[in-house]
Amino acid sequence: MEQRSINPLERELARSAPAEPHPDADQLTAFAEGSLVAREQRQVLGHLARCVECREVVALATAAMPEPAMDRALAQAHASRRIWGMGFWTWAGWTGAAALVALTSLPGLMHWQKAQQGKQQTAAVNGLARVPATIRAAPPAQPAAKAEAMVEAKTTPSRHAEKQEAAPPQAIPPTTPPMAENVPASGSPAEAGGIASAGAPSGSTSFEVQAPATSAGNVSRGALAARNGAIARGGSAPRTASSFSRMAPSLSLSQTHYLASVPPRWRIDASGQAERLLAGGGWERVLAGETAKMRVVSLVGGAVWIGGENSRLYRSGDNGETWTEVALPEKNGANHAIVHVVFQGSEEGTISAEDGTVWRTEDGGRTWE
Amino acid sequence: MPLADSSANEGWAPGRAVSDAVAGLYGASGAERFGISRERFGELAGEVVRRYCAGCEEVEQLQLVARMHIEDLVLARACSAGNETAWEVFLTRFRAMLYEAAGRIARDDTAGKELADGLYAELFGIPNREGRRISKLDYYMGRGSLEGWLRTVLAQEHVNRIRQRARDVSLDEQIEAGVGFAAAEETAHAVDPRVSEAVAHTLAEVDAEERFLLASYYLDRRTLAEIGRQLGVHESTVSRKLDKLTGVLHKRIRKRLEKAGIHPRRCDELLGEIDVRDLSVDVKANLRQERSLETF
Repeated sequence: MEQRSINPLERELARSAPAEPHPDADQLTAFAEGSLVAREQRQVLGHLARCVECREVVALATAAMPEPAMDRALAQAHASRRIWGMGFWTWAGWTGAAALVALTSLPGLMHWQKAQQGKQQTAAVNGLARVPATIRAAPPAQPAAKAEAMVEAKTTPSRHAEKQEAAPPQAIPPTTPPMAENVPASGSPAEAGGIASAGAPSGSTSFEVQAPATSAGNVSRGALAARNGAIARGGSAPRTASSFSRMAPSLSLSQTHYLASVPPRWRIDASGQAERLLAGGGWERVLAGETAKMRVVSLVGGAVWIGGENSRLYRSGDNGETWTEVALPEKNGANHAIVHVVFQGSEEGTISAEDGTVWRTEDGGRTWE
Repeated sequence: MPLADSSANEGWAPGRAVSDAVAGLYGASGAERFGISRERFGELAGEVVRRYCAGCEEVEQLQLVARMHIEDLVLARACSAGNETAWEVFLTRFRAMLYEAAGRIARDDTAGKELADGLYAELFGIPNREGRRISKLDYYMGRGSLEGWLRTVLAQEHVNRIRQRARDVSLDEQIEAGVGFAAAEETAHAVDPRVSEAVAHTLAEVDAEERFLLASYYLDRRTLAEIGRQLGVHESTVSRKLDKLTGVLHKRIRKRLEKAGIHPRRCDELLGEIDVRDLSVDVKANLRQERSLETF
């Protein structure tokens, strides 16, 4: 028979409040997401302080939350607290240093600005905005008889796991949620042309865009994308300037360098074709020979992953110039629709199929199990 | 005011400002796409305000409306009404996430799959006697994100299953071992009632957040990072608050003990026995509650 605890502090902490209704799942979720009104926040916190069951639920649900959303919120909260928590002398020191930097760099800044204005004028004259068709690496995408739809982009973060207590987690800089393009605030499905775009990923963060289930009625998803973020602007290995200049010798060196520095955008259209948009070009299909419908494109560091039906999985390390098909070990049958490619770090990743089948890698995607 | 009370607020109707605020959300909500009219949309949003905030000031009601996840609410209601387009959207957005989250919550692929399968069936709905499908999505009110709500529901179900299993297992083990159901043995060492009183009074003075911190860290054994996630603050903030709090608790308990006439040296000995940094007993056995979660 277990001995009952005699520690009075523990006993007092464990003492339950008089029977009161538990907050419902909505309130517990809103509490975890910080969207309760102030009165409710106090009430729910008061209940949680005395109810071990509800604390357990909130802890489990929070632990299952994708980390980048939480890490961004924590980083923003941390940054704002750091600013407001600075003492006077710290402020004075930073202000003085900033003033010194401004004074010494002002002449250089003015010179640079003049040089940039000159370049922009040259670029306008050379028609940088209208890149010749020769820049495209593949035949252009078919006309938009198919409604281009974008569901939403989800970000999956690097996972810090158990190391967080040993070392402070790296703060992921807050990213400004970018606007989806061509998405009306409200409109007919025929107008929908939302494109998934997400901020350039860094390190072990992956950004994911999923194909729409249907081509109709994508206004809501476009609105969601506008609200939630995610522009899949991929890869950290841009094309070399020389490849651009070979394709379009009429471009100046600065123009080719500019084009080479802009990472491409990615999408999957309603018919399941994966496409990319290079700077200055139009949407072009990738994986030309693939007939299966693609369902997800995921940007992981410098790599692009595309997954789809019939367990198709491709990886490119050069922004879609070349592709390698990745064979997944057979699990729960042979045919799966891959809908998630998520990396928790540079080496650890997960691929999920629509039927719930999951594969994992611990070597950056070289092998899966 | 109760946390949520739908039955007591029958007959309540939103004021003009709240109605206008709700009407302004219709366009961006995607309701039209799922065939939800403006009137029905107003009813859905109004129901949420009625349930949680019928007796509040209008300012608070407007805050609630502004923070509602209205697109998710519309999607959930469209799904529970059987809208095919809504289900396609739901499956694309949430099916994989559901299985992932269930796996993380259950910490086991098989158990997680079972958990997710069970919830998925309830979300899809079970026909009642009249043949109308009753979906668990009817209970979603848009206060938090639909994704977060699904995680919370999974977590609730997981906690319920564990508690159910624990009761069953312990009963079987007891019978097998031939153990009777005797009362708990009295412990040899009795606590000074003045200590218990000092601790009780001191803890009664801490606010809800402080008590939550203490319970999460010392009773539930949560990490600083986990607690930080729940409160939306950095783990270093949690650490600082806990350190400060335990220091304050020590001082207050000590002061109360000295006031009760206990010699300072004896206070040190007693404080050592109830050191908040040294709780090493089996907490779960003492915190098991009889009532399972009944929020649905």
